Amino acid sequence: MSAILSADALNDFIAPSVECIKPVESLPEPQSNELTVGIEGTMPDTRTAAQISLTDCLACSGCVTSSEAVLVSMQSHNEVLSALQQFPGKKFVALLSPQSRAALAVALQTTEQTVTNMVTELLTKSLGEKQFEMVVDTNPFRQLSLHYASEEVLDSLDDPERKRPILTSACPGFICYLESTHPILIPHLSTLKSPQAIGGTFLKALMIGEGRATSPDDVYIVSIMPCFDKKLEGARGELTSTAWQVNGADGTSVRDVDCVITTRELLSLAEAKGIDFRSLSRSAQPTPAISSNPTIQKFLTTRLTNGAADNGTSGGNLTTILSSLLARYPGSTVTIQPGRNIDTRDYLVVSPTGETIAKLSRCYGFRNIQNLVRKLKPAPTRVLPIFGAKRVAATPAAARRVAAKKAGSGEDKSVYVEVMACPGGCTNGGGQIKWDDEAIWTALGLDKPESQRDLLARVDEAYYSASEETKEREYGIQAVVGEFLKATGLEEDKLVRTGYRQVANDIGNRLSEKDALAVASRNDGGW
Amino acid sequence: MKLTQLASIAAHPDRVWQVAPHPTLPFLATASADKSSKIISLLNFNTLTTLDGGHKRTVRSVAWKPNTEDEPVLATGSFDYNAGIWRQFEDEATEKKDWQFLVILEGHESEMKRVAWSAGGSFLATCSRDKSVWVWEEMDDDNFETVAVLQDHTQDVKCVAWHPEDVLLASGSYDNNIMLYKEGSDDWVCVKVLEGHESTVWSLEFEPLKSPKYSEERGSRLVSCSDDFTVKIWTRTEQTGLGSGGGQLPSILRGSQPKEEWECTATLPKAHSRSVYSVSWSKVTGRIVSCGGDGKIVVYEEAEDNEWKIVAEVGLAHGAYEINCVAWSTRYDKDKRGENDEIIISSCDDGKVNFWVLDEE
Repeated sequence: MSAILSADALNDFIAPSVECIKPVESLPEPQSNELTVGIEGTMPDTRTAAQISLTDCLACSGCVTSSEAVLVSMQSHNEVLSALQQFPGKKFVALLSPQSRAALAVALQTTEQTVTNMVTELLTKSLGEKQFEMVVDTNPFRQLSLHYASEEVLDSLDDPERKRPILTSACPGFICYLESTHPILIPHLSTLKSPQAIGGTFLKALMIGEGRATSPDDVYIVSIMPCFDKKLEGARGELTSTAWQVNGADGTSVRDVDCVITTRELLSLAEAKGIDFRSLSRSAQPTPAISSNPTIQKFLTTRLTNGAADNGTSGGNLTTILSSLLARYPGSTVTIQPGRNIDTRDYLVVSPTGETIAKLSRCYGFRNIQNLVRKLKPAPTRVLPIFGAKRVAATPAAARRVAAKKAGSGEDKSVYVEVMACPGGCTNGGGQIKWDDEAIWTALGLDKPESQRDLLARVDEAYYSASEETKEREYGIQAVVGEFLKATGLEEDKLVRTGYRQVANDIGNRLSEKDALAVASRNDGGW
Repeated sequence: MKLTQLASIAAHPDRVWQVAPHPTLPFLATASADKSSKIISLLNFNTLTTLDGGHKRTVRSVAWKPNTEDEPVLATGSFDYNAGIWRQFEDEATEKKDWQFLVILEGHESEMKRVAWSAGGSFLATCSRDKSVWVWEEMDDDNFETVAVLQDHTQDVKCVAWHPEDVLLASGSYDNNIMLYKEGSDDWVCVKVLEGHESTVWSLEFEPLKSPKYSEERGSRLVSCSDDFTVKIWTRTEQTGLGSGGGQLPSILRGSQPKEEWECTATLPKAHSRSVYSVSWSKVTGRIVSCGGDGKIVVYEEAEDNEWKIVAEVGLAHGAYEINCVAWSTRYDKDKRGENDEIIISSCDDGKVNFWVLDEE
């Protein structure tokens, strides 16, 4: 038995799954145009025989598929350290997310800016013979994605074909869940890449365009993120060099982001090198020379605020789009409708005459995602069975009540939902330091926090207290993008857009965080 | 005491996984591998209705919603990953009563194993082989929302049960543990893990408050039965937080994390030689009945505080078949001996449902 699958992971009742979830790999027969109508469940099965290989182990949907275990396990701090040794010729660049900074700020009892200094000291000066070239903040790439996100939503208002509401595409946990469990909702997803993905494409293409690298393989990007699902995102086939490379790739596909490690793994990386994180220099570091183009350089090195509590800790997609809508409909105001818990909330853009123009919603956490998915899925077309001699007309009064409520709730005006898999947003990601990580708190010389809520409140505070420098609107994103496209020869779409596909994998039954950690932090890094 | 078979009906052509007597009306609901559920009259043991077409696979569990006498509501949980909600309507014109399938609750990613309504009927809990326990709330007519998705178990969750008064949920799993959940300030959390069983926990039930042996001083109790052939009793020793019953410090004083402390206080005398699949606790007499893979039905009585003895036993209660479910029920048939008379209902793999009376020797 493989090291990943163990007796613990098997269940007692392994019934053959009703539908085989392995995709049919042969081309389908050309369909005839004849329609037939039949009772649900009795239609002839036109599927061809499926092939199941041992490595997939799809006998039951309760098992962990080997593929995602491999994807996750092959990205760990050990992987980064061995890459540094194995590829001395590559340029190593780190992407640092604001949520990881916030968590480290609490762990190191300092500000978020100082954390950047310390991480830069660690990665560019303390690793020995081969070091990182620079540490880049992901916030500029977030600003790019927010700019395009607003555009996407505004454009969708004029496009009757576009499926609304548009769902945020920055959370790989949610994307994987949708792709494997509710592929019918894929058309709702925003077509934008996440900040991490944009960062990968941007930096690699830029370095090639500016002559500091000859191929995407020359640059090794390590991204430091608050969760494990970002590792799965990093390994996506859509986010590789073949998607954007300008001068005809030689065929080998290189990931835009080569390795994703979590906040906790960054601490492990330091420990593995015998470095006490607390002792790293806290002084300001020289600004990294990322680009030879002054506009791009300024854009990438100016520190950006994370906004206020209303933005949420997952990038602020909703509030940015909300601002754009308010700008598009002058005189309109916002009404906030709290949902049944803090992770769900509606924001209504209301015209001066009181009419709802648009509804935006926040939806964090699996339990709320369930309700969202149920609302969005087309109503089942089957006829519900009824009994007895006569058909009972389902209480018309009830039907009227439901319809009235639906009309008033502005459900049909829903244009955007900021969906995140983690309750509380990204600062509560699975890769962050947890309140009960005794070993980590001890090593940091701190008392264990009272509870996860308590810790999260402190991390959120660190997150929102980030520098209050220039806001994105002063940025002239278009100018920056213009310079980038000139320097690299890329098309705009290749920088910011991506696609999705229905997958037959088990990511819907996600690897639990504990298993992923155990697998990801093993010394051999794989199996 | 002895158990005598009162009646036996061939309810389904395939195994009957669970039986659920209505809390106040003379109905019995069954859940069967033939993908249907039947409503059987407890007055004369005739089948009143067959609810089918709602599920594509075995119906594994049924549960009656409390406080809905005029329009009984039944929840069914199935191996097709969904739960169904059915209601009996009375047609105003003809005054005929018919059943209607109202809602499908989708979301679980694997076979559903049990459904259970909370004491007041406001929440429905479902558990599944996908290792999770979901709590649903009915928002308005037939519109259910997921309120919590609890993923604390590490294996298939076999059963869920609610406390008779507090908003406290218990679940039992293939991982040998029982978990207790409560609603915290914003989300449901697992407040206690009860370890002790050495194998799968197949079923559990809280002590009914109306049981003559229930003592508020001693605290709530829970009975669980397991693949390790034992039946255990757990007693609550401490509780705080929202949704707690009376008598404890308000949670505002100590932060709003609810807390529960429970201990295993008894293991019932060994009676089964195979897995014990189901237990039920009588609200009339405080006796416990269990059934299992060895085909036995066993009744236990509490002599002293936490000292239990076997008072009746019947072997091969369904011939050679494993008995999946056993439940106490108020007795309604014509030979009942008074308003508080009880029967035991059992169901098994051969599709039969048997009715038993407990008599003095």
